[in-house]
Amino acid sequence: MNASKSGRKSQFKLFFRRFCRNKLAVFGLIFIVFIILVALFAPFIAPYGYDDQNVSIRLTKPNSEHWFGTDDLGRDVFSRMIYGARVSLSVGISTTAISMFTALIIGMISGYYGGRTDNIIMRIVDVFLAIPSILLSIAIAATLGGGIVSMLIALSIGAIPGVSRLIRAQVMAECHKEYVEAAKVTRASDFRIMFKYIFPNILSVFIVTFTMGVAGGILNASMLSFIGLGAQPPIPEWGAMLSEGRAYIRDYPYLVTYPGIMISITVFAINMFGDGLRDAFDPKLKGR
Amino acid sequence: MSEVILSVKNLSVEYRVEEGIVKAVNDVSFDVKSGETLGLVGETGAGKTTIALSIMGLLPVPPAVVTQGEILFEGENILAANEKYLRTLRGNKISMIFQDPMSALNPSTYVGDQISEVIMLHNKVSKDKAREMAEECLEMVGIPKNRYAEYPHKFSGGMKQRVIIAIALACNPNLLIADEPTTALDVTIQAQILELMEQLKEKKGTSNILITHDLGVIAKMCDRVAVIYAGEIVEMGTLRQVFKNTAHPYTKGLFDALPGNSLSGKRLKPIKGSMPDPTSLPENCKFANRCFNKSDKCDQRIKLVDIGDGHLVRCVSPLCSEGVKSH
Amino acid sequence: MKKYIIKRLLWMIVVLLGVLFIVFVLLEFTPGDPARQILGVYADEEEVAAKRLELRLDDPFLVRFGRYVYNLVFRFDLGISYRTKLPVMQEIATRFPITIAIGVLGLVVSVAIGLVAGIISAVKQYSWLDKICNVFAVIFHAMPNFWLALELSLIFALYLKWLPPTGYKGLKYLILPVAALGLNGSTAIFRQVRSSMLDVIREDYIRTARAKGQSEIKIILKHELRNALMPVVTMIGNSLGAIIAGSVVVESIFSIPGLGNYMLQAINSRDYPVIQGSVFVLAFMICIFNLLTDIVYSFLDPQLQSQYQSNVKSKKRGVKA
Repeated sequence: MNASKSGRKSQFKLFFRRFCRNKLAVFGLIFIVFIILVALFAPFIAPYGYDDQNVSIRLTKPNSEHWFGTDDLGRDVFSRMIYGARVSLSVGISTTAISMFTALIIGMISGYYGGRTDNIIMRIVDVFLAIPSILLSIAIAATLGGGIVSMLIALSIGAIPGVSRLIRAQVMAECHKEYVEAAKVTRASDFRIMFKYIFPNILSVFIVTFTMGVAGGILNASMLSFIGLGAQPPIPEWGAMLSEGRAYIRDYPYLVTYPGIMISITVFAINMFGDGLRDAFDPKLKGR
Repeated sequence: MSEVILSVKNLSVEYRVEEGIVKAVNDVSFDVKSGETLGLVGETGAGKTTIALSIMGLLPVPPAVVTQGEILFEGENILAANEKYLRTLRGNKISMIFQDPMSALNPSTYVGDQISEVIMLHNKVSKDKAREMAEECLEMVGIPKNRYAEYPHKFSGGMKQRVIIAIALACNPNLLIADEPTTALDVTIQAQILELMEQLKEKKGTSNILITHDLGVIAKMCDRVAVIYAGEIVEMGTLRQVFKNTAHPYTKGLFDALPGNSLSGKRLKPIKGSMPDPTSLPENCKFANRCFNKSDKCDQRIKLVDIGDGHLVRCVSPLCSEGVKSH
Repeated sequence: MKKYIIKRLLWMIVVLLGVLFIVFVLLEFTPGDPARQILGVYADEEEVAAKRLELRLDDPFLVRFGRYVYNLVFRFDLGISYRTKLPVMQEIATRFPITIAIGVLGLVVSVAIGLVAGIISAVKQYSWLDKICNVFAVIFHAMPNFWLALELSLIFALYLKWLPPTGYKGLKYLILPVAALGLNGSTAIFRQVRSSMLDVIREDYIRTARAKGQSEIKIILKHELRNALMPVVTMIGNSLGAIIAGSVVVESIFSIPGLGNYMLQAINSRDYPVIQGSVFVLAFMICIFNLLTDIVYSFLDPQLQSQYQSNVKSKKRGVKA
């Protein structure tokens, strides 16, 4: 017991050391922690509220009082971006959690049982995959009528097919390995084999996919909000802010530029973190 | 004696990787004479393949670095030659057969085209003529020529190895390096492939370097043997010298570990321990830690010495010397 | 090979039926009464009831789905737009070519960039060129394509005035949208090309080719590319999907009267038949494209080819000799 514990510990150390060698990944991690802290403590950090309107100072360019300027309703862009981190991050994380969890079950059943079950499930997945995931999300969100909840549902459903297929492939590869055979011989229940034996072995892929999924979720959420199907005013989602600033792009480009940079850096940081995780999990893949 | 066609002198190769410097080949020298087969035998990781790749000029640089030595082929130092000259040698005058036939052929090109590729590279012939010659090569290795236009995935491992031999010999090279040519094959197929190689050697008079860890293969195919351990030659001599008058404890260990060599009912004698870490090789005898014959004298740098008739051994207390049969 | 193509074609029809079903189910979930939507707020109850009867909206779900499919297949009918009261198919047909143009051009740009950068990056792994390509790839990958489009139009249309900011009066107007979509799409292709090239470069048969005395350039062209491109071909369909999905927003940013822009307007006015029809047509386009890539793939992959070889073998040989 002790030995395995210390073994696991040193394995983690090794993992951590490999991760730290990748400077961009470390930057990603630091930025993610930073942005999560910003999101959590938004009310304490933001100099103004996210919906404090003041028409007398509408569309003022960045200055010492309003670092990123104000928008068409005189709201402080900097504060809105800080609050926006809350929306973007929570939407990104929760849609990924929902879709990954569902996809895990679908992929697990499909990959583990194989045969006809697999055939039926995968054909259905294929049909969904014929529609690009973001287009599917747009159609669902449009049907449900916009708003954060319908955006959550739309993005989750949009992401499920692709991830299911990935998990299925992983599960299938594991099923051919001997430890699964061994577990079957001991008459372990299917559920036990799936989650006690197979899942730990695909955990690294699961974690990396989850990380990348959050980045994709944030991107897609911003797109839905941008076309008016996501966060509704006055909620300060980054994509929604872009959409609101779009009309003023000619004279007040900062309204479009800052939220866009925010999305890009966040997505970039998460992707780099995910890349670093993958390399640390599987050093053979390094540089790919 | 016939003329020397390849001469490796004091070759040392390192791999500089993140974990440190791996000294793969250390001060290795040997000659290959025209028409003979030299066997390089040793454990996995002893540096045999690195030697072969150095001769081909195909070392992966980086991480590989040649720190000293020269390889003379037809009077020209391969290690100093430019890439263009090397390309005229490769596949033409020096050929190589690689270990794993399953992956050594391009999966998306007809096997025949893979043979005519090398023919067209080194001979000024038309496409049709090259095809004709490639078909002859196929027949030469025992594959009907109507299988020219087939993809490798339709061939078995043994068939693929035949194709690879055909590619290697298509331009009648002076030197053929075979790196574990039979390791990945079934035993029955192994015998066939060795037979084929021997036949072709007789027919074409090619000199061979045969790399293997299988002493049985060496006994069947080679004229001379070099035993490699941790990047060094520890014993070298004619087949008879090395097999009958085994002088180095490591070579003896190899023989004792063979199933066929111990008398029936006896247990096999494995060599205990494993090869030293190639990133931190000891200065003294590299085999000392595993040696049954170890003494205080082993704690020094040991030279390769001639114990008679060109039988070279790197050991302070060789198990026998030439002329004195100890068996 | 014919067998293979027929098999793919049949499967495509099944997929499209499935897509139609999804689209139809979504239509079911939309709030409001379609009859009321068509007639507008001022129509009275009787008129609405009459319209419901006329459209047979009270039939069971599957019957209506059957009719929807029947109408689409035999009458090219996807229903009537709530907003313009025109047949959806007609509206889509006029806008469709522009979106195809944007999609295909965007794909060409992203494949060209992704391919060239990916090959260079893999062949010269760890060099500064490789690093630069990678940096650009991760940066463009992280940018939302609509934001990239906005910034491009800000720089090249509004500040530098090199290109027109909006509208569609010729190819010049497509440069910015295609650039935005193509740059964004190239990152995925770049990654795939690079990683599969790196896989292939490490293969034993590349070493065999070197041992033959083959030159590096020829090794890349003859041995590496064809094998490395196989996984790339399979993902090109996905790339087109992503580009077309992206064009929904990007068309509206540049006010290009394509299908995407039309769909976005429909979303804003909750014009559901148009949304569903557009989704279907876009999915249809992607399916056709996937079929094409499957066929290309089948010619590249010898294993697949020999599975279906029986009836092509003789022809192929004739060509080769």
